Amino acid sequence: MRLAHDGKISQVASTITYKQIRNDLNRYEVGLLLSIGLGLTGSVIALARLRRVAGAISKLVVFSNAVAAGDYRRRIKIKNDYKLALLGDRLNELARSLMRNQRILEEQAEMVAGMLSATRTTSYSSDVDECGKAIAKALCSYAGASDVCVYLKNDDAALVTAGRSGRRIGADGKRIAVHVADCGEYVILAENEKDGESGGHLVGVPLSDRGKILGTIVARFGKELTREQIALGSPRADILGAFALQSAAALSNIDLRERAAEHSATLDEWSQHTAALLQVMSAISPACEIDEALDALTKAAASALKTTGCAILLPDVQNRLTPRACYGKACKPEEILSYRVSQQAYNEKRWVSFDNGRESTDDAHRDECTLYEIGGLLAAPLIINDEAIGAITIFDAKPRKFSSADGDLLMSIALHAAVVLRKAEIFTTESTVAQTLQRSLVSSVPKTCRGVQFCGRYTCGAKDVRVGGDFYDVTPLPDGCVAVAMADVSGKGLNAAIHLAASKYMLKALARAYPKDPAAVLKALNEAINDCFEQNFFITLFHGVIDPEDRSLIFANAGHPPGIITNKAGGMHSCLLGGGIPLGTGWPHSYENYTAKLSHGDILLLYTDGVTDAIKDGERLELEGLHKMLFEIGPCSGDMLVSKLMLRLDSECGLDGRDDVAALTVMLEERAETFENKPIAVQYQRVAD
Amino acid sequence: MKTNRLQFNISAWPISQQAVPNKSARLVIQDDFSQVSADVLASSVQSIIADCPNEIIVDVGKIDVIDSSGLRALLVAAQRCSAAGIGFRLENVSACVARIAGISGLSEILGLSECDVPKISIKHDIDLRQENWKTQQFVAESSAQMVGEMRDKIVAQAREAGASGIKLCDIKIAIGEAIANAFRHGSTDSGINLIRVKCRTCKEAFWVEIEDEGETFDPDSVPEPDPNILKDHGMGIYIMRHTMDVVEYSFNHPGNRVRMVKWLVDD
Repeated sequence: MRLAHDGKISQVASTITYKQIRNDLNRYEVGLLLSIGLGLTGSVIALARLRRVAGAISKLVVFSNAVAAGDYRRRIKIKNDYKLALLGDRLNELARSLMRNQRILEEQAEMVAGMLSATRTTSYSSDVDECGKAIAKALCSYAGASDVCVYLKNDDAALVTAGRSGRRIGADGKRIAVHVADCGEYVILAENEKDGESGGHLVGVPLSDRGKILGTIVARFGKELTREQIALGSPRADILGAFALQSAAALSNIDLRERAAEHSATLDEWSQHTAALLQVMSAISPACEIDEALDALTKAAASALKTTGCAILLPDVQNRLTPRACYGKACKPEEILSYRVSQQAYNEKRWVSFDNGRESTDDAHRDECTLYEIGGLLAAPLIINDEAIGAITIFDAKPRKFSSADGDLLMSIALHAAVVLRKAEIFTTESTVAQTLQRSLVSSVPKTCRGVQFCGRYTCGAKDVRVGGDFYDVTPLPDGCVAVAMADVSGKGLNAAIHLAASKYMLKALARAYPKDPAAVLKALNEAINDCFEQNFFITLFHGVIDPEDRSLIFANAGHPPGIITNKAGGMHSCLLGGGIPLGTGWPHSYENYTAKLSHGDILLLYTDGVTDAIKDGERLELEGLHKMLFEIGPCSGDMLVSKLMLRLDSECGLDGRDDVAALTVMLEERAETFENKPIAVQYQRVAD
Repeated sequence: MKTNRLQFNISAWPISQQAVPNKSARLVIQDDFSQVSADVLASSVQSIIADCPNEIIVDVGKIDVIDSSGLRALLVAAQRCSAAGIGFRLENVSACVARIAGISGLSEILGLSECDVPKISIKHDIDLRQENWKTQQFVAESSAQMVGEMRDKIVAQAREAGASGIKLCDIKIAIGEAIANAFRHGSTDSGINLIRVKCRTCKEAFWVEIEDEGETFDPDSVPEPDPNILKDHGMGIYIMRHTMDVVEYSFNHPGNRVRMVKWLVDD
């Protein structure tokens, strides 16, 4: 087949002749024979050659297999063939290179493993110095450094040594550390030869955590390591960088842990401080009186600071502190030398302490502390508005070094206690004045006056309200009669006592001015209070005039609970109704006089609303409850009646506090006899022979 | 015990010949004539009858007023004497005792002269403004001893207001009955029971209100008493209605409350 020029395949088989085929065969045979001859000769030669090459190749194969299996120490030597010998040399070169690289890798792996181990060590370190030392040691042990120094920034951003291994780094190292800490870069500095030692390199690696540079690792590498081996980008440099990052993280964690621990300790301290303070405040807050508050404070302060004694000292007129309240064994109520420390705290307005009084350089003080068993002492001033009002001093029988926390706690206690003490002092002063006033006002009822017996009882309201506004009064009048009054002044405390005093003595004067006209007394008193006090308070008042001769009672009432006359047998009560508005409301008012007769044995009971407002079985006693209580008490004398009434009110209603309670009985004297008489109902007489 | 507090003085009484020629017994009512003393009178009359006197004379001169219990005791005594054939009469009878006997229809039985039954009158021109009234309040433990004392206290108020004569007598009778009723029916068994009395007086009228703590009752259901039937109770309301000008009952205060008015001036 051949291709026609037009690209078409044409059938030529029919055109090839036999002759042409024969000629072609003859030419092929000659060539073939020549080729065979030449081939045989060449083959012989080649075979000889191949035998030498094949041996060399076989050695090369064995060698390459051994190298591939990791035997980098094996070497090959081929002599017969130059090129194969060259190949063998190259393979030997390769094996050496592989062996070197393997050693490098092993070294690096060892370094990495060491660094990892060191990282764990640094991570587990509990403080910065320990961690710094671990970093330095790890670099010397695993990274090939001969000397390492770890620098960290302190709170002032200055570098301080946190750990070192090997020799000192020297001034160059410190300069590198400062530079690296500033720029955060990896730095290499070649060291000059000195002291006969060939110079190595100093490497500075930044300790950086989350972008913040904490410090620098400066490592010295000996001359056995080339600059390239430690240059940036080398595996060693990478490992150093990675280790520095881990170390920085570990250092940062340690710092955080330390700060957290510090905060936790601070919080614990604050918590204890606050708890102790609360304990003291809750102990002294309920106290109203100054002495009560002082006693509570000494006990609570000694307990809060776990000491054996406490004293409160207050200044006298010469501004000299004298003990006012004492608690505990070591505390002495008299003036002792140890209180000089209290005086110092008071004068300087700061806490002062000594650890062991028995080691005092002052002989007298030492003897005193030995005698009184005073070891440690801590004193703090009581301050209000920057003014010292006294000092609190705590004692310990044993030597004790008071910490600044103890001092601060005592200062806090003193600051809070000073406020409570000042209030208690004010309260006590006011209460004492008011009580003195009221005692003089209330308790002046005579037992008898012109043949009339009186018996009064007064109970204050709540414990913290020492002064009430109830009063009763008896005034002998010029005409032989006796005026009796029961009143309740609005308000509490000193103001109520002042109003009470004013009302009482105006009433006394007016009662003498209008001896037979209680209504006129009330009218004039109402006007006087309205004019003088401008509705600052009001007062309910029962005012009566008893004529012992005819046993008559004239009374007027200004909004006060009605008086009750109990009969001799105690079984019937007459209520003295009638009256007008309370006094002092600002309105003029004309009151009316009412009359009643006091029979033999009758008792007039006057009282304040504290009686009828008393709570019994959850309900107000009211007037009805009072009637029943009086019936249950039964017949008795006036003083017994008022005593029993108050006792029953206290036991059944609990006079604990909501209001003052006052009660007064009035009884004509000639009937103060026994109540054993029995009425005769029927007497019959019988006619007999 | 309440009865132990009473003392009875029994002694021989030499009957003067000119006053009582034959053997007779004389009983003197010394004090208030309450339920207890009424019982004592009945038993005393019974024991005297055993001595067969010709006559029993009950001197009531020392008592000003008598209530329905006392009236009943006198009636029982009179009937027992009649049954035993013994004479019975009252001496020194006060106007009030005679009046309650008359109101009750017992004048004849007790040997008293008849009296007029009072008429209920209504006044329309009384000034009831508060300021004209005087108010008094009494509270008593519900006991027999308190009945008379409380009545006297209230009556004193009426007297002070100007009541006198038959009006005062009527007030005494009605108050006595009301308080006795409060005591008898207005007391519960538990604790102390109170009787509360409030009275208001002016020149024209006497107004009183009596409260007890007893169970409520319907006063209209109480029948008019028959003097010949000796019932223990039942005359009080009848007597009150016939002695006072206004008698009203109300309840739940928490017990019963009776309010009565007596006009002190005539039409």
